[in-house]
Amino acid sequence: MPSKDRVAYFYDGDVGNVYFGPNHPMKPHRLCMTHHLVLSYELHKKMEIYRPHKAYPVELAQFHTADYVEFLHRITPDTQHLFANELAQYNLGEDCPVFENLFEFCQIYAGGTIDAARRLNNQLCDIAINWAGGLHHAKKCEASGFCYINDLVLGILELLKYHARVLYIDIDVHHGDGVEEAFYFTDRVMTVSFHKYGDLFFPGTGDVKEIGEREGKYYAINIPLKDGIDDASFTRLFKTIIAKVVETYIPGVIILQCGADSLAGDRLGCFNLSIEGHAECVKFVKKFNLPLLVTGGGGYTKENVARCWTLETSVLLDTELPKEIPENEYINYFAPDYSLKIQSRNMENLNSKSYLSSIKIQVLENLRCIQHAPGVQMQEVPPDFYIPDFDDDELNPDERVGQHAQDKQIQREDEYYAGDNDNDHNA
Amino acid sequence: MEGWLVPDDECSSGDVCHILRKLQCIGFCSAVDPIADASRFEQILSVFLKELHCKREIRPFPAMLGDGRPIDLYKLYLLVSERGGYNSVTSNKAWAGVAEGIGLDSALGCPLKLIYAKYLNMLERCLQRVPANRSGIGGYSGSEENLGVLMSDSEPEVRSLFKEILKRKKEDGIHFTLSPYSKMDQFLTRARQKEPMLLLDNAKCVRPSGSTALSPKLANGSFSSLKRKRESLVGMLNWVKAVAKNPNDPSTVKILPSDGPKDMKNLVGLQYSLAFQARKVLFLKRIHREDINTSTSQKGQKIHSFMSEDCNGAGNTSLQTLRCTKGTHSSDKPSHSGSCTKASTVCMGEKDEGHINNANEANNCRRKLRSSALLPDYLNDCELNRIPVGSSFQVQVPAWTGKPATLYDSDDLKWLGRRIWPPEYHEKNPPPPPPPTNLIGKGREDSCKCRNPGSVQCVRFHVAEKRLQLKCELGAAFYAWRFHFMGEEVALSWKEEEERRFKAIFRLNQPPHSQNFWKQLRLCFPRKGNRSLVSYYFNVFLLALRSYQNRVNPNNIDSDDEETDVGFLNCSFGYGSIRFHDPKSIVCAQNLQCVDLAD
Repeated sequence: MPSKDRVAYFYDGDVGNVYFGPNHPMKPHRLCMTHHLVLSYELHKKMEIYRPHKAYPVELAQFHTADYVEFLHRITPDTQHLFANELAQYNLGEDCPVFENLFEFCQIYAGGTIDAARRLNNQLCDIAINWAGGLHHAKKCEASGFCYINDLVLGILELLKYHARVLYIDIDVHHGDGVEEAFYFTDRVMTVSFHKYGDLFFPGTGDVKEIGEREGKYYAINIPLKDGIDDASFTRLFKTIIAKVVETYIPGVIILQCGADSLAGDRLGCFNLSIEGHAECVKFVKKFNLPLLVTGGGGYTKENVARCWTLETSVLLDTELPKEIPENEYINYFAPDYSLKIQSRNMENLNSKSYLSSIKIQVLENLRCIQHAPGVQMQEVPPDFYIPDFDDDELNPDERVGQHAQDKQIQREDEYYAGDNDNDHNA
Repeated sequence: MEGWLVPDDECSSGDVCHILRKLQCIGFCSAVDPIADASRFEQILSVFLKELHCKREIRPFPAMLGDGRPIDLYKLYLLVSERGGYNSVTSNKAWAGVAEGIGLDSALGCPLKLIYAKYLNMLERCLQRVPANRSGIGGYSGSEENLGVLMSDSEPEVRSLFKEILKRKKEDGIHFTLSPYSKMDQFLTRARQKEPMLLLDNAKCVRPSGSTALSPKLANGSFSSLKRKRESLVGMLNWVKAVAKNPNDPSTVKILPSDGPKDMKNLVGLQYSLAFQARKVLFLKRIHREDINTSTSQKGQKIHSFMSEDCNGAGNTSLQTLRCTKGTHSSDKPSHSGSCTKASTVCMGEKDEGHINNANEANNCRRKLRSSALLPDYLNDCELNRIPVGSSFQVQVPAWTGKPATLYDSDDLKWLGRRIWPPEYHEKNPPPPPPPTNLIGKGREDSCKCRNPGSVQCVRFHVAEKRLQLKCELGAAFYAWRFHFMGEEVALSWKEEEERRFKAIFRLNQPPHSQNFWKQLRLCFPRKGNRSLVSYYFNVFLLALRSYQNRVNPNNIDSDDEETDVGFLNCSFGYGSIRFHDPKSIVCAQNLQCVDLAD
């Protein structure tokens, strides 16, 4: 088993009172509740907690266009009526309103993810957590879906300075379109997103056929799902695909977006995951023993977000939490049972077995193309790279890996060692 | 008798070319080479029908009568055109004459009419819409002109709608419900006839009420929210479905208001206009794709011609529509149930009409699953090309050149975040290491020694206890994380009078007037910053609301719904119970104590 990890956790007390406006589902106050619950469980005793620096505009402009960043900096609720054209141009308005301290809010959450990436790069920690981050919809020159600055892209760019390959995994109920789009042409970042797709569901991208282009072809993976997916199907699919992805791609670092809107009962989501199922994915990713950056994301039922991310913090700390929520300021939000668990809804899982397996087959098929792709740099092999015991057969006896695929795996392992030797030779 | 079997190429090729040019002018058959293929009328017709039906409803060629005799469609087309087109032949009861003209028994007029309707009617309608001046730059006339005005009026809204719909990759719902409308076949599937009905009803229902529900702005407003649940859109789809199932049932309008008990007329009007807009968008999208190679002026004209075609269709078929909808009401005979049942049948790809109503739910599910298979090709294409490409979207990732030799220099290190916990003084006297077990912390204890366990006072006491404990333990970090601005303690900086005013403002601004809530708050508390108001709102007000809900209605809680009725405001229980009778008693005493300890 991997040894205990050093965990860095990022929080800034100023995000809690950011307010998007009346009836806006995004409530940064959930971050305040999460942090409070984490501390009520005394999880702080096992980790280091940092206050991130506020990212400078020039840092934000590593990805975003300078004029967009500048505009975000400049705009206030009182002056916005003067900039109707720009607001439309940058897609600010109803979904992404201009509110007080908007830019500071962006600076804080982006700063958190950037700091987290830097700490990982410096090997000052093994796991970094920034629940305020994970705003995966923001585009290079426009806001989208409650996201203004794409901290994930900025974090990945930072990680790319020290890692040949970065794996991005997204379990938000919405497609991680901003991140996918930003890295659509590169093989140095693989994006994997599990999301609801269809029925006009935001943002509308994320078909299984979107696989990347040019050098990035096959390096964008989309797992489109239907309403009501439950723990069993989701975690099984997640483990099968992620295990294969990590084995194939051998990333140097993983960044995991843990949007909590994939939980049952979310105000905007439509999946039926329990908190345990959600956290199971985190646990699985942690087992690879790679540097890991964990961010938040969506999540529009405040108390469930707090529950979920608290439990996932404890998972990352290899800690078990008692189910009864300890006394805290927000205890009333956790009524009626004051428990970490949430009840999954009695809803139909519209993802049939055959649908899920057809998705899985397509994804694995695309992954197989990578194994033969030339020019994928495999020099960098993490020192303590570890694939957890994971028996695909056990999970799905119906779909064993064919002999052909096994042969390929063996072949690939040869390549892997060859690459390793080369690396030694060069060094 | 023999002659009509062989297409009369020589004499007709010029005319066929003409037809082809007209079709290409409105965006069809662009792939057909006018020189090589022009002589084959059926070939062109086949391409045209395929494009029209998006490969879903392909007619077999050659066209045959019931007894297997093939029909020369070109001849048929010419004969009917000579007699003034389908409508005039029908109204003059001249089909028998047409049959004779083509060399058949006059009793075969009816089958011939059917064949014409199936194969040629759409062609005729489309060609009629092509103005004589094909270059299409200045001249449209009559109804087209009106439509042009209409279109340009609504164009910005439509365009933004279009953009949004593109953005959102509308997969099933709207496509499925609406795609039959966007295809031109007015006669065969009859699904389209529902659309004219929409139009008519739209006019009837919305205009007299004088409401502005048709205003695209309204529709647009409810569309522009991108990520949130699009109640209006879902509502519209449900409504369209409901109308499709029970067109004559006045209660269909009641399906929607369950979402929100607002002004019903407005809502219905909204659904009409939304459906109308969505249809327009689909038209535009389709036409846009088909004309990708033609000039914009032509495009504009084409849109007009399509729209006018459709509106004429609405006028022409209004009576038919009414009959059809009545037929549906007594829906025993599928052949008469016409537009609506068929509409759903077409949507679902479901043949068994009898089960439509029972299978509603199942159909919904199936629809979602099948969506991509049934999606018309042109939409599929759109979706795949949707990741925008270019330097304003993608980020430049440098090639990997190996691990950099130096890590961050000392200058960068200060940007790694400032450590708040564990605090510096822990370095000097490290606290006892956490227990080696994997379990941490304590859950809530089930029993306590309070006089009334579980009462409001008891909960408050334990919360205060916990806060005190945290405060002592965290020291400076407690303030760094703004824990002193968390929870009901925030209320301590508010005077009781101010709290009462806050509540009064909330009560005055209950939905649907909640937009003014914050404005009024700011006016009322000019000296409290926004931040302080928000903090009070989340930490005290909503918490109290939640606490009230927990006790009154524990099974149906949604603290994220800011529009719920706040019963506790009117109820003495709510306000009184969140405070001790002496508001400064325990909490404050403990705060003082705690401050002492912290120092």
